[in-house]
Amino acid sequence: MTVIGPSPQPPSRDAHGASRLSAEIAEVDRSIRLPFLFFILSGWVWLLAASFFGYLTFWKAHNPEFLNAQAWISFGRVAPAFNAMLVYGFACNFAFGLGLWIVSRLGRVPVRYPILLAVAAIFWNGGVNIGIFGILRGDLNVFDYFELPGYVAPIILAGLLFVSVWVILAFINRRSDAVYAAQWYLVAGFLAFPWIFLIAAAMLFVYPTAGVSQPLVANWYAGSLLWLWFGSVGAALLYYLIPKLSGKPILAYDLARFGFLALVLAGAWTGTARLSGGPFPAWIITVGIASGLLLLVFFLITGINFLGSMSSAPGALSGNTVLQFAFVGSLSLLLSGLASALLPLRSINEVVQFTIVGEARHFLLLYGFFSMVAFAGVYYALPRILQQDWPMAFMIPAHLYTAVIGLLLVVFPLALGGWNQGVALNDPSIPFAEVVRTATVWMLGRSLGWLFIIFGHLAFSLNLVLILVEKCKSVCCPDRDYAEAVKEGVGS
Amino acid sequence: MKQLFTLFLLVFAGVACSWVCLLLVGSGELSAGKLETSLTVAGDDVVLETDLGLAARGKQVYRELGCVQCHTQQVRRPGYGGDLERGWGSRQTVARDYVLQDLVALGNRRIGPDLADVGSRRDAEWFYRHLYDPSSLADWSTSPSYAHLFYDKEVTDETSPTALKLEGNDAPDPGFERVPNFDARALVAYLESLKLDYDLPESKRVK
Repeated sequence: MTVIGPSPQPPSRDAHGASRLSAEIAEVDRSIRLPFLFFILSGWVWLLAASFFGYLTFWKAHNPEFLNAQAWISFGRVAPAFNAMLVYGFACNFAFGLGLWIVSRLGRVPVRYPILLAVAAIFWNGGVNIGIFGILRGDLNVFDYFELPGYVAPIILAGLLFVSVWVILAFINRRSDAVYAAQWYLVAGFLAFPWIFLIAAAMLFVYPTAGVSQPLVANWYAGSLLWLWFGSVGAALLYYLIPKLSGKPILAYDLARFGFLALVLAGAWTGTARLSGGPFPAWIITVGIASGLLLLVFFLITGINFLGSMSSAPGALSGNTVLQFAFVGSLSLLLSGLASALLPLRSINEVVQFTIVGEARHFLLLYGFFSMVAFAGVYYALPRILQQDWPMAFMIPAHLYTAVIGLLLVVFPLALGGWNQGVALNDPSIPFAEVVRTATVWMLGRSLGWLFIIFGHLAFSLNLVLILVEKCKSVCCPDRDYAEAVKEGVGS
Repeated sequence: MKQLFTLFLLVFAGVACSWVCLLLVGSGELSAGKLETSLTVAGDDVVLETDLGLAARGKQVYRELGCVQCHTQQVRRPGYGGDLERGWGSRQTVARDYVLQDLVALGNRRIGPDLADVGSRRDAEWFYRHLYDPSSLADWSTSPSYAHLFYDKEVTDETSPTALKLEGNDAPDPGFERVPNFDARALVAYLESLKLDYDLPESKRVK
């Protein structure tokens, strides 16, 4: 069990060692530039598309006739398309880029054949593209988190396998002896994702099972995807970023291994908890609920570790916007983890099942936790990879604040409204019309919150476009600053 | 390599065990091989069938239109929520109800009512009317209209039985009638087929 042994010693700090280390890291950053940009820019385009489709989805939820003349733009199509864009388009691309970067950097091993990774990005994004068009033309599935049509599964699996192999090769070829928590999480996530995806695609589309085995497989996949994949990569990002950004080590690093063990061993078992009350044997649901409770070990250790490390570094958070993104992500990890463990308990689930509380939990996990952490990662990584500062640094706090306001406006109304909806749903003396009205009113918060979130995405976009423009300028015309300085000198 | 092997073993333990135990064993328990589909319950013969003909196409329309985004098709057991009291079915749904279906849209959200037994509650005319203009039946409904599944057709000999009864501005031109297209008829055939009007040994209707 060397892999999850005690915390590795920091590398030697003598001047020679430090300069060699920074030279190696600079080499890694240079080598990953092309695939990293490919993944992040693809994710960014999906983020913009998802911003628009999210707005459509949320607005239609209380204005059903808004843009409803044709099937492709009706609620039943844009809602799954939005979710697929957010999960497979935006979040996965960011996870690929950042995961590759961190595993290469911690191993101090430059990426080999980066052009092949760009091919992998083309496969993945081409597949997701075809899938989204498929959803809009009616080839969608009835399963949450597997809305994409089955025929794109081989294409995106090919892209995914490529990236996974590169991550694992980078881990095998690492030049550093130490193995850090971020590496365990990343390797585990990249090992698990292709596997769970393959199982789900095979059991749903290649050898489709009949009957309620289908929702069983789909929910197993959804639970595994959320925790084994997004949970692993998100935790890895936080384990890497927080010490870098706060200048302090992780508070209780020695406990990290228990959190990791809990996630890897129990992460794939949690999905069936959502089937509670459905046409399934009780043991299948009980296993899901129990493993959700086991995951509390992961949520509590990581959540408290991250939040504790940030608050133990006095003054580190104030003025450090990127660390504040990580802080919001850590807090959301803890809250969405608690929600995932406690909501399936039968007495609570009886009320919240089928209500918009589920949407609140989903949003807190995917956006509040994973996306916020991924934004922190990109804000930290891109200036280092491009050797170029963010041109509009004041837009980073604007992104953070709008995202936080948006998150609060989305999550709290959905959670409170969902509880009211569930109580009303279970009381047959309340007419169903009243139940629908209750839920609809609370959904207004989500539509408003999403507008704030879109504004944040625009702030991010502005910085992203400008940093690339600045970089292009400095590459194409390296002497420009000098030329301008001379011109100004002549003018005065 | 040693570290990678340890990590691989851990992931393998987590994914493979859950796959075998939950999916392989679970699917086996829920399959037609394990659950008898023609049986006698309290003297009545019950033969479960898969959807055929128009209803089979209608189920695909149900999937294509994303109905599952707002509707479930499962009745929870008595004492767990208020599904029976709401009149969404007279018994809970069990695995055997779905065992021959090639597409199971259990659903995760109830923005609209449950549809597991909707064929017992509504008739074709109601379904067409609701698909065309939900607000004409319930002003509180947040269901979108599926008017794009209907078209205007010249009345030839006599009016079609499925033609919508429309008045005022919404009415088609004189000599024309507004009728559902093939997909709409298939969808309605499927919705009419959603009935829990039989007993199973493990789930009997509450009279």
